[in-house]
Amino acid sequence: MSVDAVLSIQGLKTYFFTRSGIARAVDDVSLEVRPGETLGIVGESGSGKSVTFLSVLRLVPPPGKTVSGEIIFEGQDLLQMPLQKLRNIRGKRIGIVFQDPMTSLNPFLRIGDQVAETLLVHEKISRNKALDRAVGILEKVGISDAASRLEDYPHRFSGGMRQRVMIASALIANPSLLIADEPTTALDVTIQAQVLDLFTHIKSEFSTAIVLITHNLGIVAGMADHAAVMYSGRVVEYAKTTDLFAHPRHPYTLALLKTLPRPGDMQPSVQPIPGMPPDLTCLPRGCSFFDRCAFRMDRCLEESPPLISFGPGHQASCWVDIEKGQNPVSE
Amino acid sequence: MTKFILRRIVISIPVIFLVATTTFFILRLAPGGPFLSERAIPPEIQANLQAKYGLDQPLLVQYGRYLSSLLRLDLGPSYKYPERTVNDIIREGFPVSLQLGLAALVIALLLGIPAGVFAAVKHRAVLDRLTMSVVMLGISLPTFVVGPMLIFVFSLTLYWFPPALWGEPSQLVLPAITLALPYSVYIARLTRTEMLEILDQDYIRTARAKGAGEFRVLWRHALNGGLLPVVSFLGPAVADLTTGSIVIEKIFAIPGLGRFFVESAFSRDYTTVMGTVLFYSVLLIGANLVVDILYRVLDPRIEYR
Ligand SMILES: Nc1ncnc2c1ncn2[C@@H]1O[C@H](COP(=O)(O)OP(=O)(O)OP(=O)(O)O)[C@@H](O)[C@H]1O
Ligand SMILES: [Mg+2]
Repeated sequence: MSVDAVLSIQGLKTYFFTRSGIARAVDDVSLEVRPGETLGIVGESGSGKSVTFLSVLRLVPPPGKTVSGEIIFEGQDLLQMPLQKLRNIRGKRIGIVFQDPMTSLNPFLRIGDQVAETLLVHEKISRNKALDRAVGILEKVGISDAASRLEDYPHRFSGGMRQRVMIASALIANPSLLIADEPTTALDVTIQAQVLDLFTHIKSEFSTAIVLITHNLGIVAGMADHAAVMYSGRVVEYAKTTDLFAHPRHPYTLALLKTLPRPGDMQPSVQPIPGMPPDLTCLPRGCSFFDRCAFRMDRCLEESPPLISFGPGHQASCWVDIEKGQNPVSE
Repeated sequence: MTKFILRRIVISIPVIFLVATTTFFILRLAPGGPFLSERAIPPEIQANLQAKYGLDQPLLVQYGRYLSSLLRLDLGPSYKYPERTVNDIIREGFPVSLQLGLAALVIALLLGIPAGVFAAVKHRAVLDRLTMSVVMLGISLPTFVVGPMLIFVFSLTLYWFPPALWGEPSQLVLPAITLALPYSVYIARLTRTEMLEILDQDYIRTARAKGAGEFRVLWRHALNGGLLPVVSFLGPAVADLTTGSIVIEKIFAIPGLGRFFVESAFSRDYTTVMGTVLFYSVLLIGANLVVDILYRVLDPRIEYR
């Protein structure tokens, strides 16, 4: 992996020590994000997308614990750093938009104060100045007449507006990395486009690197430079977005792409992949996708495939070369 | 907000009326009467007394008279202390109990809230268990043990505070602490439970993700919500604390209101019982109203209706 990455995750393992066993929510994940690039993260529910990036800021709730790995951000290992120092990075250098906008805002504090808080925590700035900047960023994320809404409490805001407030408070301090976990789920299509435009804009203007976690492969195709596909706590494929869509190398990625409705398709919604993801507390010895895989062979049951290079910057953890002789994406 | 307060006051009028009526009839249904003490009083004198206070009249007439004097805010004469009216008793006792009660309330909050927050933060650690053990000790020691203990240590051994009597602020300290202890214990437990709940919320994680330190997370993001159950508890607590406690008053020789509640019931001092109960109800209603307003200040999700 290159040294110039904004964020480089190496061998990250975050486990949940639950009563029913150890859930390996993130199991040996390595990823990197370069300055100014957007990394898309896709994968089924429960595949470890959120926990991976909660681990980056050391916000995994108990009984979860990061047991090993390195998380190098701007040259420093966040996992080794004293919490006091990490706090200077949270919010200021790395902004994060959490998945659930309904519960992620404090119901007891005014919107303006919550957005301005990041500034007040990190900079020597008066409350009024911070609120002024909050107005600016709120308007950028599409809250009209933001100045008059600063005094409102979150319960007056719709889900979409709360999501935009979350985005605003993640962006207000101009972080060099933005982690956005399903940032557009609660938004209608117009606002969604507006928010994505904003991401593109901050990316080009401030060369902010963005990690975009989403279920929506269309968004990945439109926004991400690189994409990582996660399955049961692992990255199973990592590639340039264009390569990933043109030449998927992992059967799971292939299956995901097949679920995409094609233009003109009468099927309006994404089709689920048949089968269930494995129980994270007792993962099989071999490949965890085995049960659902259309390309499986005996070896997959015995040995879990490592990430194998399939060309420059394209890795997938599969023993099979699914492009050879097999029936690829469109059938 | 003014509308809200006015509406609440209007609603409480029938409540007070109901309390007055219920106490009146329950007392009359109970056996015995104010002048039927163990000491045999000659029947003529008894009849005289009954007539003097109108107790020989039909029940409904008595009830009507009682209500009409209530409208004039006159709680009537005390049967047990003929030289004083119930109004006099409250006027003399309440300021004492109020001072003591408010001092105790402040102490209870100052001890209980930080202890609860601390225990929640140290959740599952030894310090949580230790804090909560001290707290449990506090709850299991009855007032009549704590009071004399404090007197023994701080008055008779250290000479810091006078042991009893009333008048100077220093004399307030020991009884106020004694009165406050069980309340502070309860407040600590309420605070701890709610804080534990709140510290698990997503918005606390958001605050941390912005780089907020633990101090800010606790006092700005968590405490507001964490205090709501304490605020609800304040209504009854204020009413209880400011109307005196007979145990404390006996231990520290304090001329408060508390003993009248108990003694008047034993001596069938109808008017005093009804008066003190009514006074307590009004106080409770008032305290709850203040608490509801405070609750709305703390919780923006509740709007005035
Ligand atoms: N608080 C928790 N306690 C126990 N296990 C947890 C907890 N949070 C997450 N996990 C485990 O971690 C796994 C990964 O969760 P994560 O939230 O990262 O999934 P995700 O990929 O973000 O899914 P989604 O698309 O639904 O957001 C879950 O399957 C679950 O087993
Ligand atoms: Mg998630």
